[in-house]
Amino acid sequence: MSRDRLQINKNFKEDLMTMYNAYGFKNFKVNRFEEYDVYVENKDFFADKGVITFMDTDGKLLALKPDVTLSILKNVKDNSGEIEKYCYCESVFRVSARSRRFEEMTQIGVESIGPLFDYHIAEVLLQAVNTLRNISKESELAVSNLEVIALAFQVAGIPREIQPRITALMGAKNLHELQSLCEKEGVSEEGMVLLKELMLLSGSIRQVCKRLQMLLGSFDENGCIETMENILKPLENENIRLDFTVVSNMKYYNGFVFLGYIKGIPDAVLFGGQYDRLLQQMKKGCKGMGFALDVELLLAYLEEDTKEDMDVVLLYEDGVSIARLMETAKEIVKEGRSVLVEKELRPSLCYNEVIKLEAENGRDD
Amino acid sequence: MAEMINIALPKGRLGKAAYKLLEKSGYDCPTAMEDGRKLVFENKEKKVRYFWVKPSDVAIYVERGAADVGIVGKDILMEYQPDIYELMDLGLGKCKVAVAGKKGTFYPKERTLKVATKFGNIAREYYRSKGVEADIIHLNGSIELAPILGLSDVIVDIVETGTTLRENNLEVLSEVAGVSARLVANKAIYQFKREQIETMVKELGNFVEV
Repeated sequence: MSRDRLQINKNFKEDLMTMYNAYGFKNFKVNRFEEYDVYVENKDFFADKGVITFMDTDGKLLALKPDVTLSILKNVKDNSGEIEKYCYCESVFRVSARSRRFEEMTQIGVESIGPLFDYHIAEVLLQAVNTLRNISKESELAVSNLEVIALAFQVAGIPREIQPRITALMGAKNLHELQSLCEKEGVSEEGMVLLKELMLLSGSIRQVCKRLQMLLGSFDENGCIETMENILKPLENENIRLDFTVVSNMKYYNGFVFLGYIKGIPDAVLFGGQYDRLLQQMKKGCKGMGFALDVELLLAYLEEDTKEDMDVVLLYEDGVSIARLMETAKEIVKEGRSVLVEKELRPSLCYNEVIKLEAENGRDD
Repeated sequence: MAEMINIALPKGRLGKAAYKLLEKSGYDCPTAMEDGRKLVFENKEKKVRYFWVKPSDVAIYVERGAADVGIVGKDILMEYQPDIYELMDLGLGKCKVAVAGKKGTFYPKERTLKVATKFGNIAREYYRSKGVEADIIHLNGSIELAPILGLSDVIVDIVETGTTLRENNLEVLSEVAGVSARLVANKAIYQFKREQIETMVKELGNFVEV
């Protein structure tokens, strides 16, 4: 029953950053400390993450950053008309959902900020899918759209005050309590059926969008279903599943929200979405979208492939002189190949060629 | 090829009733009901593997992915708030979480209410919603003893028939929530065993009476 640990390429962090760079995302470095004010103004954003604070020598309250997104957003130019695209691999300090204690964790992610067009939104989704695929072929990005959920709430006549509870029940696929709550709050039978269908609706982009058009199309004045379909259509052959039980805090997020799963890891390893509302609250007149990969969670379940990749392993027997070994190794390096001098082959070694050096007449020198 | 479904069942009466329901729905594994110290049972043909675990641990097994699905009481879900899917109310083991105390107990107005319970989070949330300041005393068993010995004013506990309360001269003062067994699933595993878990929900649905 014990599960074999899946392997992960030891260079996966560098590989991901290189992949993001290739799509024009620039590396973003942030300090470990951040002014606490940045978090106070958006404290709900960190409700379950916690912030470690301390006083600087001048009395200013600082925090060990619990998240990278806000640090990036704080620095983006407002209304510049430019799209800023960043990627990062940074430490964050927050309360772990699992241990319920403060931990230092590594996060890798991307952020696109500015007057984003549909392409840029699709591009972030593509990066998310590629991130998961880079780690494992058996992965899936579960994608939802908060505008479609808001439209369904409006059509179903869900009072604003019970929407957070409805959203939480949807997130738990808790149909039985959703039904009870709707009955208690006087939601119509049609409204309840619509919510139930939205909750159970899951599948390929084409299938789900078609069904959504039938259910909500005639009420969709802003064309959010069509926009969603246009953005997702080029990603039809990717490991994406539309699933409206993926929900996030609507105070900060809008449009697409998503969670990434990898087979063998019992929790979502990647989370992200569009956060135009967070930017509005920060008085920034632009749009934003991004995601983060939980590296600690990955490494808790995947084993880094620690095999040493060498071009040549130079094996020697007793009696081979140091000078001869050194000379041979130097020749190999001169040819542009890497070399490891060993007495015997270890199972962890990964190599292209083995060269054996035997002592001349039983012994060199 | 379909993979095994790992099911965590709570030890005791509720688990046995839940197994019977799963058996009727086509997920039988006859050895699972055998007496003995074995904790893991498989039926390779039906692609099911059962574990018997402590009732309060079922949600942890599922949340951490050691089990794909599990049967757990709503009281445990309310208390620990695990991040899992709650797929179905199985209608088994119906009872309630209630506030109980000595007959005629009134909330003291001049001091903090003392509440003994093993459901600290449920009790805290309940009194917060009522605007009552409560001192939550965490106990692990024999909760009914607390008001009798003056350790607390009231208790928050599971009430099934109310017999234990009556025998100790206690009564239900208010109901906090209805409780029954729920089918739960790990959120990440669900993505990769979706079809199998959805089929299980459908099959169980044919026999569940809520």
